[in-house]
Amino acid sequence: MHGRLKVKTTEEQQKAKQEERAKKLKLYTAATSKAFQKRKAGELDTELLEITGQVLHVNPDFYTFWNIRKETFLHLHDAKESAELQKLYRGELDFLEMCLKVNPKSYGTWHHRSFVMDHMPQPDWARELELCNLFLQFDERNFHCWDYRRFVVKRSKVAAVEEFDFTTSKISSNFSNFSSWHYRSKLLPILHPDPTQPSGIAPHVIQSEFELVQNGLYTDPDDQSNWFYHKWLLGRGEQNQRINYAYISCVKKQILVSFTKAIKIGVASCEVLLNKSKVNVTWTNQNGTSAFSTLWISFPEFICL
Amino acid sequence: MASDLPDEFDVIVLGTGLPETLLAAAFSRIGLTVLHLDRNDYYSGSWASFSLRQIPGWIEGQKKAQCYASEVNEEKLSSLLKEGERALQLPETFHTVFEAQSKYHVGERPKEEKAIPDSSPSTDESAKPDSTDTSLPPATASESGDSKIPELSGPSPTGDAETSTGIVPGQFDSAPEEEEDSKTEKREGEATGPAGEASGGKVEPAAGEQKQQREWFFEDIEKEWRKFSFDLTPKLLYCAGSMVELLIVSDVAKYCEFRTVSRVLTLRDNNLERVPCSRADVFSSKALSLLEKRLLMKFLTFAAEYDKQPDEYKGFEDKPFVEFLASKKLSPKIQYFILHAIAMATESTSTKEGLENTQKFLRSLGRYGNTAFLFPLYGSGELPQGFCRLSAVFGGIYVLTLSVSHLLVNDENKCTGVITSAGQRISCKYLIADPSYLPKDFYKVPQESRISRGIFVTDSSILSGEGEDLSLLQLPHEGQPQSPSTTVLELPPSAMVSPRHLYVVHMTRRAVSDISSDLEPAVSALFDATTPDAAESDKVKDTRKPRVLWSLHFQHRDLSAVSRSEQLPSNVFVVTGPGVELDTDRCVEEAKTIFKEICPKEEFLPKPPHPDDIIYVDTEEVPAAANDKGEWAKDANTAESSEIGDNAGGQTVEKLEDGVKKDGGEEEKDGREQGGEGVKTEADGGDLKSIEEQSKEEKKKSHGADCQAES
Repeated sequence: MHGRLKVKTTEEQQKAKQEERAKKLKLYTAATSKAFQKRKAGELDTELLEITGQVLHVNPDFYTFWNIRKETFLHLHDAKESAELQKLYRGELDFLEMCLKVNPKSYGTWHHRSFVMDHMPQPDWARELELCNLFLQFDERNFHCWDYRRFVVKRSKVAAVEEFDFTTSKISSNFSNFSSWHYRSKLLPILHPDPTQPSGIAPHVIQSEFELVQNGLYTDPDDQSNWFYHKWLLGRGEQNQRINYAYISCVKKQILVSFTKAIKIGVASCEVLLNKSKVNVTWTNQNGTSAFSTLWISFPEFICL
Repeated sequence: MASDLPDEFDVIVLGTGLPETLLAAAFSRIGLTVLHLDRNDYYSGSWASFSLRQIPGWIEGQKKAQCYASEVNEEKLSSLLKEGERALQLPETFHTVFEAQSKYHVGERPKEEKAIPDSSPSTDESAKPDSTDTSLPPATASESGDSKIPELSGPSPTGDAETSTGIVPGQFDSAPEEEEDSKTEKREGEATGPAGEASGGKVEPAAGEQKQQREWFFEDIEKEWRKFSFDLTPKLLYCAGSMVELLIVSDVAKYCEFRTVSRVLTLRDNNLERVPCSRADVFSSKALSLLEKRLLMKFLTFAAEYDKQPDEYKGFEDKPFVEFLASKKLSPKIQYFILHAIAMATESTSTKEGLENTQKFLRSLGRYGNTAFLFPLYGSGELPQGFCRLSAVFGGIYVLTLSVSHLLVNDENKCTGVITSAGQRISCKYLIADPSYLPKDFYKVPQESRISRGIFVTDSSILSGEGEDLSLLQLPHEGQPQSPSTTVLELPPSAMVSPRHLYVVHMTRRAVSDISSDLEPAVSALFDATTPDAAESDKVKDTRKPRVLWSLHFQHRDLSAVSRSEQLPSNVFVVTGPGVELDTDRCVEEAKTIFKEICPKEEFLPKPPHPDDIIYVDTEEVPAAANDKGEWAKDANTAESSEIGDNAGGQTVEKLEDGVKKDGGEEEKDGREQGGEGVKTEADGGDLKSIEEQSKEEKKKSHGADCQAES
């Protein structure tokens, strides 16, 4: 009958599908064994990249192959000119994007991307940040991408305030987003440090963050991510400062003090009284610096009784 | 030419409006032979979208309201009749559109203006404000006329417009923008010459829009006539509604593109506000207090599943929704938001209906981002065309500018066939028709009513925001709770219905009196009525209302509630016309019901087979099998193979879903641009689209050829 499409029956369909699968499997195993052979023979060349690429495109979670690729690239560093390498790495980035579309949450793929960016002669970090924006637009909760973003930010030295604004925009489009809140908690101590505490945040900023998260709590009290952040804001450890342990050695002429909370002597003070009279001592932490620490050491000049 | 069409079809469909096309597609899809006719030379009938230059022709056509010019005389007619048949003549005229009137609200570009693009930018800045003050063409000059565009339509639609007015298009395109931008800066009183120039290079369409107060002239608008697409019947799609489901299941989604309605607005105390509808909106809304946020969310959570908690609204079922909202101790602001923007109800709506509407709205949220509605890019007229295309892919035959002059009815009051306006007898088993094709006693109209429609081209958004928003606004008429509200739909350039910087605003209201007074309250509330002179001197730019540059008004006969009458032959089905409602889901249900009645055992528009699963029949075999229909069959077959071959079948649904997921046109565009560089699927999608676009055009052309063959 004209005008009517003839459609394959389900048996025909299944048969065709099976044949297709068998064909694909054959290709896949052939490529896999070829790649291993070549690696054994030490033939780390562009052909090997080609073969592993075909497999990884189908299955980006095959981490051994990502490692083979890394080996190959490192090997090619000796053989190729910088311009040639740049081109090769550029191609690798395009290839990685294809793989990320197959599985945007593949550890191996994102890790390999960091490797490529670190080894490329002229990495384009701005483009990577754009890529992160795009992936986070498709799925704002892809923590693999958030991780990679932090890597990019670290390498290209993006200002913390820009990143902070980015998290704000992500949160306002969907506040149910652990990654974004978490990132905020990491950025705040950099942006608004509190001089009296290690990784502390200025009190007025805590207040405004509190107001922000409150909006979320009132909008949806059942959403966990708000409460997590809320807890983090509140639980910024108002633990009492006490001395856990103090050790005084006359032989070594040494005083060791362990506190329950990290302090910074210089901002806070720690005095030693000997027979009710104050002794001048200089404190350093266990690393010999004056950064926040729970352990402080002094080598006083006085002699034990 | 009469012999060009086969003499027999399973189903003949009259009219290419949405319900008809759904049915035509559904019948072709299960293998019935379908002949789909439209008396117009365009698709979609009352659901069509037109470019700027098509409007005058359409207005003229509606005045004549001629259905067909019959070539059939008595003698010929009797020769075509079979025994026991009688011929029923169909109406020769039918009025669906009244008082149609289009008007330009801008003047022609004055002479001295035309010289400006040639001079240097620095003199422009100083020259422009002067010239705008002195040389403003009186807007009234263009308002004197009636439906026909007065003097202004002088330039004939052959493209003379550009040349006769002496504008060099290329120069003009780029120059005024830079000029405008620096002008804007100047107005703000902070930019000096160089700064103005520096920022003048790149115009951000969205940001520029807010402040820019460009002077528009007739030529600017007329020049871009192709870029306008005016919907006679603008419709939205509920993201989780039955139309979206149908588009996905039937694969018609691959013929269309969509954009989200990015904001729902309300007008309270002369103040336009964005309504927080979703979680994200409520979270980031500054208009609501913390307590209001909780109350609103609590109510919305309840309304999303109200049917599971009947105790909550016990006793209120038939009482007005307003009373129910008041009983929930919601603040007046939230009550207003829910009533008008979310439930889109009036003060007389019952609680049950209000809750139903709210639920439908809420269920549609979140599917394609932060919105409950989609709008088809290039206009609502794309939807019927998409289904026509599906029908054609499965062998449906389309002829435009062909109608039916007589129905053939036998003793049992069954329709056996039709006589086309070209005088050919075609037999059919079923006939589907838009009421405007049928005699008046074939259908019942419960209550004669009209829909008042206004279409406006404006120079800015009614509420400027960060990006290009597509806005929906329900405007109740204060102090008249029983009076129908006006639905306002503002489409930005990214909806692909207008050129850059221009907005298209649709107003729809159930008619109360005449066209101008029906829409007057909404027009005066939203648009700037002052003359350009006064607007120019208005220093407070933020509160500036958009100015109307072009408008079209008409009233449409409401045939959305027609039902069949006893006189209607049992195998003839009458479908409804467009109504005032916002969405198209009613059409889907209607088409399904009629389809089930005719083919109770068949599935309504099932998913087409995957292209890989289609076995192509050799073209040589076909004529042998189909005898006299050979030629048509071949045509249909080639259409199938080319189209299905081009499209990657199953993937396309995902494509739609990915594509629309993003909120707002701005982002979407970004995504696509980046797609070109980085992410490949997006780029693939683009290519696919362009191929589709191409084949679509070819399709249209081939239809055109069909029509020519007919006439």
